[in-house]
Amino acid sequence: ERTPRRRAFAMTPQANGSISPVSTLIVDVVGRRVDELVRAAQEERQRADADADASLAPIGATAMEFDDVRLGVHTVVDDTTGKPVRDALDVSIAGVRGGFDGETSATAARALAGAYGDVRPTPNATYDLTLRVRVGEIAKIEDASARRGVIEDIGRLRLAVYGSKLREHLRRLAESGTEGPLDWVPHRPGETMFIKPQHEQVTVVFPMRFADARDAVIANTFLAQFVEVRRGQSALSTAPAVSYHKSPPLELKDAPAGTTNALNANGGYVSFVFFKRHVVPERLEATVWNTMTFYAFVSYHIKYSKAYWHSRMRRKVDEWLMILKRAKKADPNAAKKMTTASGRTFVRTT
Amino acid sequence: VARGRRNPAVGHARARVMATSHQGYYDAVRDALVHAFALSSHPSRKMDGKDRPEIEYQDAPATLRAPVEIKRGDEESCLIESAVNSARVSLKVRQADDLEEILARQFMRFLGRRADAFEILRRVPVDGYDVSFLVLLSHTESMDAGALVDFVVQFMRDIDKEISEQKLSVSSRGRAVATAFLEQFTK
Repeated sequence: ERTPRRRAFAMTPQANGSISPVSTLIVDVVGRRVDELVRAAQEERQRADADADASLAPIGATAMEFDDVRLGVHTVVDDTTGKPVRDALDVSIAGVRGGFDGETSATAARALAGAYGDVRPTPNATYDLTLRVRVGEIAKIEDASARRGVIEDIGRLRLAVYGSKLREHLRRLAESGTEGPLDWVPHRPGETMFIKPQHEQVTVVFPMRFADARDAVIANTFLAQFVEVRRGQSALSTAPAVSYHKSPPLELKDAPAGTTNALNANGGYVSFVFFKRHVVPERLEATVWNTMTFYAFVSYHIKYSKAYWHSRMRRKVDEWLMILKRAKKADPNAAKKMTTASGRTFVRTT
Repeated sequence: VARGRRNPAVGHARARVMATSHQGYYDAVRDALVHAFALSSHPSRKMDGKDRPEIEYQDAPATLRAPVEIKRGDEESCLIESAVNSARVSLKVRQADDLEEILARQFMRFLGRRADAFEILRRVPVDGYDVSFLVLLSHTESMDAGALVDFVVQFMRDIDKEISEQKLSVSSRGRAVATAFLEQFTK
């Protein structure tokens, strides 16, 4: 019997530090179960006395993802018989308090799963939402790459669920583009993303708060480049507008008291302004994901900068120590290595 | 390495030398170091005829020479305090902004932890400076004094270079990453 596997996931960014919205845990575990079912279906077709109720090994795989998001994939147990069900798997997700948007998140998860899953009325214990995935139905899809596509869609559960509030605002921009009150999405303590719908645009403000004041100094130089690059490169003129300020921008003047600890950002405030072109249907999901992972993106790169500095310091120290070693005079009392005229070497001890 | 003692106020006036160019600064430091590292034995009555690092104790004026401070601009300076049998070289490195300041401070802490490996590095810098070297007679006996001078000057150049290269790396990383990030919204 397979024991539940626990895997810790660090970010697995691509070359430029961008993060995939598809969860490896979900794709691996659900994909494996679907493969087992596909194989079992093939075997059953070949065997005359197929035991259709042959149960597969129970699954209890959990993982932590970046920014305190937890995922779980668990075997479903039938309420009446108490036996494990082989055609379904529960995929559960939990995130930071306040990040789950109730009905909006559930609707987004439902839309994501389509015909292949249902949102449970109550999530499994300790989770915000549980999606019961009909792996049996997925296994019936003939084309392997289409099967893979469905599984990867379900792998985007995090984007659907925790991006729901932002998605709603951006969808409204695409449809109407009217002004609205300030909204916010708690991300982590001290990291709250503010959303201000305006006329024909949506401004998203990220107060940058770092526990270590030194990180804030690095962030300062790093984030200033966003403005420089947006201003300087004509190829980016269609990208969202970027601004970076030391003090809270005007959009945050209506921020309620509870969120004001987010207003003492030692790393400044980054604002992105999105226009309709950024939220057309074919671009919407990418915009939501890139925006909601901005904090993780920045902290990854700051961490990388610090690691690079440490390796430079170590390398320099090693170089200096080697120079000092060369400064040492030969010890007059030690055995001297000598060479004869004919080339033979010997050691003379004094 | 003798643990550094806080030095009480010294009676000598400091000779100040203002350098006018990069090369002038390093050349002036080099000249002063050559003099400072010409150490000779001075058995101490207070320590049973053994050599003690007079520059750290600062209580036998006969053993001390006039300290020299060489400055470059308002920010950088090099203080060379010498005695008959020991010398102290303290450096204040350029820290033009917040980022250079944290990089310098981290570097100095990193070095301080490895003072033993360096032998001539003082674990704690002299007050008002970022890093200090303490060169004893035993050091100039086991190491070539000229090579030590070369080392200190090389060190000064390298520190400046490392800090400015790291600062550049942060902003060029920012540029590359910002471009990639924003491009995602245009594709």
